[in-house]
Amino acid sequence: MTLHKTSRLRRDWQILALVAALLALVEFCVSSQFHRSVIILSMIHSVAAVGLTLLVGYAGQVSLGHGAFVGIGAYTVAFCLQRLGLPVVFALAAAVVLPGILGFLIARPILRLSGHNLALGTLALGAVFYVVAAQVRDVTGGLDPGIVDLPSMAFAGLAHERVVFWLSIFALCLAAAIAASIVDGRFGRGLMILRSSELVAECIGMNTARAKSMIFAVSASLAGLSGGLLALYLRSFNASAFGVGLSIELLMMVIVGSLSTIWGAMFGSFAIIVLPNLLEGFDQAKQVVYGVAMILIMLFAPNGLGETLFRVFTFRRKSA
Amino acid sequence: MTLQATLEIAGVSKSFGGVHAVADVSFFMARGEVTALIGPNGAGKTTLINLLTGVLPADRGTIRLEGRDLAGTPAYMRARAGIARTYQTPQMAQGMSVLMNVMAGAYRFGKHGLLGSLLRPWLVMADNEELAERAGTCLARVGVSEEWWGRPAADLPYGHQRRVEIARALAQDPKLLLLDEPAAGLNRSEADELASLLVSIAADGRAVLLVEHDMGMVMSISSHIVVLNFGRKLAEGAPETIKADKDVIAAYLGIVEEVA
Ligand SMILES: Nc1ncnc2c1ncn2[C@@H]1O[C@H](COP(=O)(O)OP(=O)(O)OP(=O)(O)O)[C@@H](O)[C@H]1O
Ligand SMILES: [Mg+2]
Repeated sequence: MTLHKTSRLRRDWQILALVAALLALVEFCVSSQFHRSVIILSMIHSVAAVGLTLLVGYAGQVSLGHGAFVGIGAYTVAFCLQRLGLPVVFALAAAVVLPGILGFLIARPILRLSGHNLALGTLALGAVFYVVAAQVRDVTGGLDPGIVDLPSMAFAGLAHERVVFWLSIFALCLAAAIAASIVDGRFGRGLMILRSSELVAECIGMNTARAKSMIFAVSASLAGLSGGLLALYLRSFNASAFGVGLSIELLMMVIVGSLSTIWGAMFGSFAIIVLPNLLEGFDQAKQVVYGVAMILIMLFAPNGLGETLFRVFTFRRKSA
Repeated sequence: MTLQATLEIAGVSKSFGGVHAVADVSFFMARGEVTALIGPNGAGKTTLINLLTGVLPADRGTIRLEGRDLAGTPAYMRARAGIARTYQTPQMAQGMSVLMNVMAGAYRFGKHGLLGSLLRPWLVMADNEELAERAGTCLARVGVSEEWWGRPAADLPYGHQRRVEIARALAQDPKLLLLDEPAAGLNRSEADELASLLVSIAADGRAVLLVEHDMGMVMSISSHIVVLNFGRKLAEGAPETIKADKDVIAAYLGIVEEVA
């Protein structure tokens, strides 16, 4: 009985501790500037991808517009630091809260859609954000110059990159802890029912409209946190960083990782960040490759590529 | 013995376009009893269940649960008020174990909400423990043994899925349990086990609505039978009365009585 019982949450906490320890070790060991930047970017994108796993994988609601929430998080941090002169901690908190509230408000109308319409609706949302961000120069600086010269994070003798690295580890672990407590609790079970059938979810007593809004808000919050970190790390950026391309990449991270565990997002983010760096000229072919990969994965590994590979691998070992 | 009406349906109607799926149906259901709802294919039985659970709005009529009018009460609130159901085709959530499916049924008994689970995750652990206990009790009661609990529910044999669905509904601790053809696809001995399970569930003090084509089961365990035909209530009464009813026999044999 104990075997199927509460082990999930405990197991996820164990994985979390392992991941945290591993990342801390990496922080101490990696010296190459390039490797460092790849890992930081992977972690930052993971934060958003973990949130998107909750929405897409658990609740079954696809979003092609989460790049917008990453952008809102990034601009929120810039605004808090440059205009309001707030400390970094508050700026990041604002980057979590504001996208969360916006996400909650947008969720009701947009989650009336489902399937293809939802994909198109969220895609439009992302596109609108991009246009607005490029136009509202007052806050965003438009496309040129955009946001420039955010303060360095160098602190107590640690270089900017190292501080961001630690911040990212912390944020990723926080995101994973939040996601684990959600999916392993009653709300997560309700979401999984909802993914299969909204009717059944309603009939076990779940307010599905509200539940979908809540999980949309949580995923928007985590996207915002990711954007806030991205702003801190890059220090200069413009709206083109948060276009439709980013939304698609985030979704790819989930699909390449796993649709049924939050840990796949980390694998997926790493793969999607590393890939363009390994392949010369990949940037031009990116959209095509992603499109084809997405179709193949959904056909042959509907639980996500990472998870399917993991299953195949552990199965081989067991039967060997 | 006076029986309290758990469910009171009066003049309930529902049309789809020109089809009167449920037309002016009224009856009572008492706690502690199995009430059967029978009728030929397309008679409106599933539609009536959908109206009772609130997944479809009724066009007309009133539905009262323990005296409270449910008009305007959304499905999830009705579930929380004590209405649980199963489905004509079993609805097992993909990617969830048997135990998790049934734990999900106990949704309304969980003490942590979304925010609670973020701020105090250890409560989730305690809560899970309690819900798993509840789910385990329900699974044991419907006769799904522990070896099945960790398996993906959607992969279970059909008969087991039907039981798991009843366990999931029981985990809601319902006042009113609505079963949509629970014996379909079961063999004789499974159907007999199901019959005694339903009797014992009613004996808990719940009102059980049994939609079923298996007349042997219906006649042996129901206290009261309501017959629908083309959405209308054709007859109502004790099993002996229904067995002898000319209209019912005609409807089931598909014979249209000649009007003199
Ligand atoms: N969502 C719907 N839209 C349109 N018509 C519907 C809908 N649901 C049911 N109907 C129609 O309403 C009538 C009653 O259907 P219902 O499913 O309630 O019958 P039933 O008694 O459950 O039949 P069965 O024994 O085959 O399950 C049928 O004519 C059916 O085609
Ligand atoms: Mg039916």
